[in-house]
Amino acid sequence: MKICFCYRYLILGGVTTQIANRLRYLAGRAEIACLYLEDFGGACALRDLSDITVCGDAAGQRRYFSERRFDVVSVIDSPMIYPPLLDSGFRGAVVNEVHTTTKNLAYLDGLRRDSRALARIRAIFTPSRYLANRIQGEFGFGGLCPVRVVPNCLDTHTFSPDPAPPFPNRPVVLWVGKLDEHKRYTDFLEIAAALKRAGVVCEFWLAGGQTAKHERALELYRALDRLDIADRTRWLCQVEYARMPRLYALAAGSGGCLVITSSDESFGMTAAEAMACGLPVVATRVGALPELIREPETGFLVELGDVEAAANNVTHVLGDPVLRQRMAQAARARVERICSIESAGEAFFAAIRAAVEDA
Amino acid sequence: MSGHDRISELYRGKLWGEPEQRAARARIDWICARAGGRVLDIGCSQGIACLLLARAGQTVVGVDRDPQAIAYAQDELSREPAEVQGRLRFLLTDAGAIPGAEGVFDSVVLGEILEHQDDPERLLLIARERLRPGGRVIITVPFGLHPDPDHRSTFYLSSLVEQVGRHFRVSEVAIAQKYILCVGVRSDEASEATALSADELLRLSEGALLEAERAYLERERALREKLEALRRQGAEKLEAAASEQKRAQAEIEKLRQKQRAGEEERRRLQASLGEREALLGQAREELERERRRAEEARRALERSRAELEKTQDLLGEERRRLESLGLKLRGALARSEEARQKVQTLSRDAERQRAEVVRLTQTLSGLRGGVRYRLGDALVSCFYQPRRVLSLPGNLLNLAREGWRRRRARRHARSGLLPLALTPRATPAASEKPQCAESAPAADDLLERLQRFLERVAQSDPAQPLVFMFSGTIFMQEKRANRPIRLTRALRARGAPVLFSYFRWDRQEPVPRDDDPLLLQSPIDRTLELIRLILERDFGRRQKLFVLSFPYPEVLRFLNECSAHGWVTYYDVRDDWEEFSRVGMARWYDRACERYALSNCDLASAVSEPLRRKMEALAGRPVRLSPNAYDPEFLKSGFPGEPGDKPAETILGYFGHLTDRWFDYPALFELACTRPEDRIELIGHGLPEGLTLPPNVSYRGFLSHEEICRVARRWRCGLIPFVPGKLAEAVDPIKIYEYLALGLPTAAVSMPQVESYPYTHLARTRAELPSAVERCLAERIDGARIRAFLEQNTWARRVEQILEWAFAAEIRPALRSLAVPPGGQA
Repeated sequence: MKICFCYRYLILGGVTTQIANRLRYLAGRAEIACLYLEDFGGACALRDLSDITVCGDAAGQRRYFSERRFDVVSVIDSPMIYPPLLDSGFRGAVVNEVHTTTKNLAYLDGLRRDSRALARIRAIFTPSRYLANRIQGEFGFGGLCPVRVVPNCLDTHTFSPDPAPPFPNRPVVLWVGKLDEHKRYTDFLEIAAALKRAGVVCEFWLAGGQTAKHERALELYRALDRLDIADRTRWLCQVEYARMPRLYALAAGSGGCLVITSSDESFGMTAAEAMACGLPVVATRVGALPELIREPETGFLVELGDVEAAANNVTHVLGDPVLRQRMAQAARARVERICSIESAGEAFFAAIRAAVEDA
Repeated sequence: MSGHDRISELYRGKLWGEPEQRAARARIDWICARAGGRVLDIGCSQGIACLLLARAGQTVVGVDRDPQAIAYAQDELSREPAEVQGRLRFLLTDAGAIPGAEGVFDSVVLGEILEHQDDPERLLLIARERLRPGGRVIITVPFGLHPDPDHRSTFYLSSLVEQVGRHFRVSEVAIAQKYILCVGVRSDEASEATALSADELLRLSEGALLEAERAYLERERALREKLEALRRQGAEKLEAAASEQKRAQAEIEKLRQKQRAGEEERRRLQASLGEREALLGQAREELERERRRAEEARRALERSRAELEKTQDLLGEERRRLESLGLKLRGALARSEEARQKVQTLSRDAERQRAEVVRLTQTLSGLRGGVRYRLGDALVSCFYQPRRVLSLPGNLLNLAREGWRRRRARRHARSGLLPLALTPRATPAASEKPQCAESAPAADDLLERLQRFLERVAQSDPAQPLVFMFSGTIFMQEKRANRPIRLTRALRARGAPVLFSYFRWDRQEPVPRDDDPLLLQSPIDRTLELIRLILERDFGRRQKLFVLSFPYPEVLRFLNECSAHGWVTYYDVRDDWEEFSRVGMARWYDRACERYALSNCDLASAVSEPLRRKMEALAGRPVRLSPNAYDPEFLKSGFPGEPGDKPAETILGYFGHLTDRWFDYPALFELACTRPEDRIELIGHGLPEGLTLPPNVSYRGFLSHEEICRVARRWRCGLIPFVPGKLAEAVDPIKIYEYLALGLPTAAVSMPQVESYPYTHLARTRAELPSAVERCLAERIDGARIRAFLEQNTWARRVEQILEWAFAAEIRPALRSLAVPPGGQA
């Protein structure tokens, strides 16, 4: 089977990581190629793949599809591919993958109205039941096209519990993400302040947000000052993706946990990475997170904005090493079952085969 | 003696009072004076009389039926010398049971024993039996009634004499201290009468009675006096109680008045309460109206929020578009950088090849110009152009001459006698090269220079730490050399490579070059672009120190990345930036940012104690003290601390920043007015425009250090007239060390840090500045004292202290392990 993945940006990021992880399962089972519309230096993430094409013009794209004769083309959040794809005379199966964050789903409205494209799409793949429900309901794809849940793929060999010291002296309560309203980093700061007021001994690390503007950084410093948590809060604005397993391991080894305060998550990749590394998670009950986190075995869920409940759960986790250990093992097992390279790769391959056979 | 009376203790003064003890001793001594030979003491009690008699050489037997008394007596005897013990025995027995083997005695003592008997006659008979004829019985009894409950018989003089006289001839009777003392002799002659007549007995009795009456009257008098005293005390206490009662009544009256007043107040307040409740009702109605207005406002706000969300969605779209453009731009920049590096590599290759071509061309020219080549060419040309044979001899001759000249020139070159025409031109000396310390390379040249610098660092001594000095000062220079520049010079002097980031306001301003291969200067805007290259560079085990010289908000996000890459982060607080911002400087300052810097740096220090305390309170963690220091390079000539030659007139002076943000011109002018005969000189930059100086104040300009030293040596006092306040209190001015080096005492406005410095006099207010100057002028400068102080306070010492702190501090190993590649070691 010849599969082509199409995405707009060849850039280091979530989609490229997903493709790279899938490659490790699909190698030997299928021939894989990638077509990108613009190159932002992400080829280094696809070391194992030689068949990478970057083409930004429609004519070139038409030729590409016409000449290569794939069995399946998987279009990942890139609706501009459809006109040249369909104009090329491509006869194979088309699937549309939705990986984007929920605020960027608006393109699905246009896709639904594009009857020509809609007629060729065999299935929509999306990583969570939550997103699948939204695509079917809110964006009206229910009844138009099968929507299949294909979990994201996580390299659970790299993201694994790493017991190697040194660990921080105090438990680390970790938060990962951009400093924006979607991730609601300010909620995390409020949780930190509540924990300090309650006398909980710990540190707070915010990882990410290297692209935050200076004004946003100032907001952060001022919030730390206003909430009187500057003495125990560290901002690591850039941590390379390859170092993330070590970051989760540091937090886990210190006796800490991960806190997620997002207002929405299409899959919860950060939570999955942390769980794979044995780091307990306290997250908001939003988006796809309840599908990933089974409360209380693998983590805790709180309502969006409920600072007090989150602080209480964090206190509980930090104060009970037996609970942490149990939770870490259960979370790791769950992630391996749902989104390891083997399990997620197998789910993807099965979905692709089903889409081909649906012709 | 009988019962357990404690006569021995009384005799020794352990009981009762002095009169009783004296009387007891008198009685015992009277007994011992009359008993002699072999003595029997019936009822000996604690045995004091026996003991005294045995010490006096008598042989004594003491008898008593009280076991405690005999035990006491035995114990006393055991402490006596052996010869005394040999003369005295005690028997625990009744007088009637004394063994017959004891025989008869010369004396029998009945001391204060008869009054305890129901039948005193019995003891008298026993005494007579135990006495040899002519032996003596010595008797003492209380005279008359005695309060002892154990007294069963009462003796008066006549009754005792009469009773004793039935068995003995009474030879002596006396009454002393209410006791009858009597001696009887055993006589077998019935006719021997008592030695005392009735008159004598009567006299003795009357004497005893008189004594008793006197004692009674005395006691009565004492009791009356005591009663009177008690009565007086009672009267006084009654009077005091009556006064107290009057006071209490007055107090009660006052309290009643207060109570009445309180009642009045309560009635008044109740009336007032009614009015207030009415007002409260009105206020509630007003509140209700306000609540309704607030509700309307809330609904309006909701509507506005909905509008805002719509606007935010549109902004989100725009932001995504811009992010996409940003991504494209970054990709283009990355590709452009890659291409530029390729071009540079190709350019270098091309340059090498060009040089090779030139070399080969020159070689070829050399060959073609050689005599042999030309000879061969001449011969070959004759082959192809036979007519050239005609000119061949001439050509050969010319070639021979030229060959000879060249050989001669080579010989002369080897001997150093080259003609001037053939002497190579000297290359320009390095000092003649155009100075470009302030000229500008192209801005993108900095990346290449940084990479070369980092390579040189990697090849330099690994024992030296690499220091990244993130300063907020101007670039390295002499004239405006503040703390980061001084520290950098000291670091370079000890061999530590330094990357010095300086502040520039204009991105077009050229970047200075340095001859120092281990010093690189970078303007702050470029530093922030290149910082990750520096932080992520692997320097092996070399220690690395990131010095944050000012809490610039845009660099703070890198602090923990520094730590993660093994840099020790150190916030060197050299000024109170908050106060600077209040006077309009340091516009970038944000207190929250400074607090973040203090909390996230591995260690921090401040230049003065007040500033240290302030930072410690802000950070909630220890902050060290690292004052400014002295630069030995400052003094271009002369000995530190030695005052220079002074002119006749008194000149005071100041050098440094002259901004009126902190330089107290009113205080300076006041000083100038109070000392019109003195001159005041100002050196520095930042003099406010349009400022009119008093006639005795002059501005000398912005001078080099050498010129400053030359001018300032003429001064008699250095001034630091800063505006009193928190900014001045926080400083440790570098110039004070320089004043000292010039041998100048210093008059300064209150700066607690410098209070203990030599020859430094502080004015707490402006008004005190002239008197501080006076104290300075009265000083006798001891250069040795100044030198000793400066030697302890050099920049070299500060650097060593800072490095010691930094690399003794625990680098956060956990954070550092983040920078280690997977599979590597922390």
